Amino acid sequence: MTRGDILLCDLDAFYASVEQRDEPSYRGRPVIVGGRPNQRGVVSACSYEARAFGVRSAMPLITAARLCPHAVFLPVNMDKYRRVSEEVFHLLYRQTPWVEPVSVDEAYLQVGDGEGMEVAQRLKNQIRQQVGLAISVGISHNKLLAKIACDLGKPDGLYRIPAEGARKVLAGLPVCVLPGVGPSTAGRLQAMGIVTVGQLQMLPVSLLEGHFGSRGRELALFAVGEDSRPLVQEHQVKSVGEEITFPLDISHPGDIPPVLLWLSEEVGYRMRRLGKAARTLTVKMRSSDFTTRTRSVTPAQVLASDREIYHTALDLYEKFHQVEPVRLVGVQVSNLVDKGFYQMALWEESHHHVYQARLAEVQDRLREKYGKPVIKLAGGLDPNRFRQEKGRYDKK
Amino acid sequence: MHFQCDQNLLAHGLSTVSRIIAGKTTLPVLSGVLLEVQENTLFLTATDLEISVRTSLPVSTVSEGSIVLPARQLVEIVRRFPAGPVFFKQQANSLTVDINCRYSNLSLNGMDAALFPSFPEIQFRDEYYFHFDDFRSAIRQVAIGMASDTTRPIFNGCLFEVEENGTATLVSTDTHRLCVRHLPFRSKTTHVARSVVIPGKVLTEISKIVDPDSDELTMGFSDNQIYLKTSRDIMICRLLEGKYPQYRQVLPHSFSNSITLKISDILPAVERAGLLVKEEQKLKGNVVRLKLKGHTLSIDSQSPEIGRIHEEIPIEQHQRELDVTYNVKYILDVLKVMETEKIIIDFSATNSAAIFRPYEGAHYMCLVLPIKQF
Repeated sequence: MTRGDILLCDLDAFYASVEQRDEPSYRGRPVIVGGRPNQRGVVSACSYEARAFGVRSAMPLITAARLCPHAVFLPVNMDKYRRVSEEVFHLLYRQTPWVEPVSVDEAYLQVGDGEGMEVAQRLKNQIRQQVGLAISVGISHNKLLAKIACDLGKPDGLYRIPAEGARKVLAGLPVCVLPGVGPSTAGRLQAMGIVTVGQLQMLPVSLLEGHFGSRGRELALFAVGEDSRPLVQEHQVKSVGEEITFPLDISHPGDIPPVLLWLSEEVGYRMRRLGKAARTLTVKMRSSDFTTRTRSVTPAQVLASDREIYHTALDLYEKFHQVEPVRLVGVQVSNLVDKGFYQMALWEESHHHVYQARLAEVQDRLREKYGKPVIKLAGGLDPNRFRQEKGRYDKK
Repeated sequence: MHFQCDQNLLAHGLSTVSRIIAGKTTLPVLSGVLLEVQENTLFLTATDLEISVRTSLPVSTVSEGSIVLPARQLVEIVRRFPAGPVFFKQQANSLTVDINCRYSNLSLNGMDAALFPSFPEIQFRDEYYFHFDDFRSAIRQVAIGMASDTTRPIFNGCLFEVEENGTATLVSTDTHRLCVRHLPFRSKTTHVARSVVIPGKVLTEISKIVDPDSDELTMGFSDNQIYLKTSRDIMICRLLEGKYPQYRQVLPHSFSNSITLKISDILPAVERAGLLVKEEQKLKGNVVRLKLKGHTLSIDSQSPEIGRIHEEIPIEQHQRELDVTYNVKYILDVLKVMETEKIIIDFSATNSAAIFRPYEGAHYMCLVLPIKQF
């Protein structure tokens, strides 16, 4: 994807919000995460209630305690934040494979041209409902403006900077909103009498180049809202997987296939959005005693449709001869190849694979349009068992 | 055990039997060759528990006996011995054998022959005699179609059918291609219809055997085993169990196109096109595109990283337009075993499968299914 909307998603006061989510008595009170008020160390995060008292991230705890002595001071529980972060990223990746993680609570997303607002709204709802947190989303056509839009919208923001309005929005902001402008550069600019981006916009590029070298040119471009930095994905996607930990261990073997079907549909959808098909499929089973087993298969034909993934997963599952109650089930595809070619085989419904591929394409398009699966294979539709439980699944 | 034999014959015999010995084995005795001296004959036997192979050579015997010697060392050392007599003498009350050839003296520690799996017993009956060279050519032509992955074991074998009218047919398929080869044979008994699946490995191994004294190969069946023998060597193995799919059903009946070509025109062109496909792209399909139009067959291949190639071959008969994609390896495999200078390629009207056959004679055909894009 080369063109499209860029979203910057940033969880509001992340650590503090997680603590407030989990402990109702903290809600509405200033919360400072970082350690005890008498400890050395700095504020890792603070709730908006604490910010009202002037508390900021990276401020020494002792200073924070002076500003806001009645705040709730909590230690950093990184394991917990990381788990919550994974849940959020999971939802991000379900929107698009084009995700650039910036930190545990921040990521750039690239979506289709003009789809930004819709995706952002959907994400905000999903994260609020499924994770219980507020996220601010900034939308524009590049990373710089998306970031600024996000900051402008906070908290719980949804803000879009259209291309034509970029220059004007930027003009009123201080120079430190631009990437690469830290205290040092800001100081040098201030010495030149420049405090706002608007002032920067008026300077000729040559002058900035004279002062800041090649960075000067970049600065001039940023000042007018131009940014050609691409989305950086950590690595090529090597596998796509989905797993479920059940709220109660499952001991009835008949309950597993619908779960495999649901997992297969999720995995299939995400894999196809990458334009890939899979050579290898792995099923993972964790028993109630935490023993974890995996089985893999690399069939002669690549796997592309949900149905093919599901049937292969089901075959593998049967080979486990699982007797213990099941705590977790996972389906993963790997060894990904570009889809597009299918070697025909004898004694096989000759167009079967092609039909499956077309069906999957229609399903995917509908899902993209409505933001959720619209047509599914019938096995996953059992409302008494499956739908109800789906909401309770603790997804990793 | 004490005997003398010829280096050349021994080296040849050892190379014949040692070929099937598995590189890795859990039973140490299987990495050895069984030597048995009876009267004036030395029998050499090896097995991987699936295929057993035995050969014999004349020796001058002082005393009979048997022992298992490590195959790799024995084969490689004997091969490097100078031509001339080789002397074997087992040390008294020991499993060590002293081997001597000219100025070379070797002592090898062996294993008790009683540990070696017994050679399957054979009832010689229902034998078919093939011309060995013709048999080798047939195996070469069907071997390309045998599956090498072990997901469906039946496809690792070759269907062998004898009809009452007295023709043998060999069939192989990996479901992406299908080879059918007819093979003449002689038989002493009246022909009984028979349809069995022979493990591919025993067929390829027997066709590698070089036996200058034997231009005939005997194939026989004993219960659920097949044996293949020349005047000197015998290989025996269990037949594959399972139902071979109905191959006649999938042979196309109507064709959209038929072209006659020289191997010397098409093979180098496809080879050139195949060179543009990177090894790692084979997973993607490894494709070559064949197009027919008017009096031209064109062959195209491309790789985003390397480049593209376009080849054209003139065709005598006017052709309807056709555009099909195949796995380049499948096309190359069949072109390399055609053995005739002129070939015919028919294209199925229903699914564009390509059927390769010699211009003269109807003894061989290979069907290659295309790659569809989605």
